[in-house]
Amino acid sequence: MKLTLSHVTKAFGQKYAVEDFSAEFERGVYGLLGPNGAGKTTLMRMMVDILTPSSGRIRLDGVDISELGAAYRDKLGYMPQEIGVYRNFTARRFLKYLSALKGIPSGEADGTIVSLLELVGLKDVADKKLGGFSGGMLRRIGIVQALLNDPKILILDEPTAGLDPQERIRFRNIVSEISGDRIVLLSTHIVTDVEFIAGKVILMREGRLLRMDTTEDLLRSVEGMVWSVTVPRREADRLKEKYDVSNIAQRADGLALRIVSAEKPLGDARPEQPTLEDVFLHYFGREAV
Amino acid sequence: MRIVKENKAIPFQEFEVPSVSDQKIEAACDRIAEYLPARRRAGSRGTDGLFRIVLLEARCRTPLYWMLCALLLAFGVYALRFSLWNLSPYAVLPLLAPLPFLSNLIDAFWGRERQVAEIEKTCKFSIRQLYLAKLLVGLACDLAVTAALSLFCVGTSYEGWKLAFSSLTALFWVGTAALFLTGGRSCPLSVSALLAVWVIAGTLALQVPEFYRFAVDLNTAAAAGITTVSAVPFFLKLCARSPKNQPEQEGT
Repeated sequence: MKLTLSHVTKAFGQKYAVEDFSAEFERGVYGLLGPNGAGKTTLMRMMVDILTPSSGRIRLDGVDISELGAAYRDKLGYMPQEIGVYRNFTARRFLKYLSALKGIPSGEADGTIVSLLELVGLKDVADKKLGGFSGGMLRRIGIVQALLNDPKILILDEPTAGLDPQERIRFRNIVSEISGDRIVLLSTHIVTDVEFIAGKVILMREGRLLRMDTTEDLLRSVEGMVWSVTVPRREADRLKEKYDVSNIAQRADGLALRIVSAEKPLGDARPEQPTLEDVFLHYFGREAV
Repeated sequence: MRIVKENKAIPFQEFEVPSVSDQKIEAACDRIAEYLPARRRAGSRGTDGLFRIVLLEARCRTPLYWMLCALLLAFGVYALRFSLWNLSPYAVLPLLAPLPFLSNLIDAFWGRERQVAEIEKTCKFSIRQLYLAKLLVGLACDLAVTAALSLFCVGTSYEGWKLAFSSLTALFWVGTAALFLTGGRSCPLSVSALLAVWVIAGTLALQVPEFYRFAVDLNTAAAAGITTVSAVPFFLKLCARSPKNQPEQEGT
């Protein structure tokens, strides 16, 4: 199964949200990273056939998804950035309703709903109304509804936003478990979520594809560019002005800075192992901060 | 004559135009197509499965809604069989006729957050089918109640067709107003307000002797004509109330 985006562009009036984006997706987990306004959500909405590209093609195994129609949506699971629900429905009823909309037979849906609610730890509140759910619980409902039809293509827009650290770990494990023979694309602002589970990372800026590579290759691309220094506060201010600083920590002898720079920022700067956050800072600079 | 021939012959020199194979033409078209908007396949989100989705929507209605429909039917039968405050069913029942349609809108959209459409759009059934199904459930209930009451006219002094036409006219006009209102975000609230306004205005209208007499004395053919005219804006609005016509929104 191959999902191909060829020269995909989306314009709203005079503004290009996505511009000439081409990429190929085969089974595996893909992390979509980019600062706010990079066009991630617009790209995902085109990939789930909610938006029609202004130009370009999105094809599944060579067939345009707009031609596949319901056959494509049958294979699709989508979790939008903002989860909307019927607040007066119980979790079970809402999921049953969406199961029916996805064309899942009623008997089959019941079992799937129970097992998925158990997977995300919401089995006990299955018969509670969604109006009383917290933001984190609603996001988990969002994940469940995306998985109802056992999708071969799973597109998750900011799935971990609003989840507490424990829930995020649980979510990461779920995605890793289910990713086997699917295409999973997830966008996030939390770089560490992608670092552990994504086989490939897509960097996007101003609607354009900046880079698409494995996590290892991206880390390699900033090798020798990450430094740590401990300096007095005044010196720290100067360094912050001049370099991209990915972390600042208070130390007894001053401030410990983690700097991403091609050049050694200070004589006593120590080289560090890069993380995906450093990569993010390197490619997006001050936009990322 | 010879000179003219020579002058004409000069521009027509022979050129070799290489013939292009069909494959090459197709390849060029495919390449160019990459830069053009995709053409949506007609019927890819068509009407197939609409019946199934109407049934699903009907199953989603709350017991309160079905109780209201049953109550309305019972009230109508009572009004036809027994005298009711000395008012004619021709005047009273059209006042109540749009209730199943309006209550259905309130019931279907109650508690619905706007963003849920984002999820619904990616399901197998299209959002257009879904919205249409929501409206059709109410319309079907309304028609069923009206038809049942018209049948109950058999054996009474009332004419079933006239009652049906009067009821449908009220349904179409109030339904059109409701469809205008459901374009807004606070759909249940605005439809509830419309319902209240309709019931109050209708009750007040019945106090006006001229209006009351008009409703009672209207002949069946005239009622049929008014119903036909009233149906036009209703069905036009029903078709136009399709999410297909909504503008695309930017992501965040």
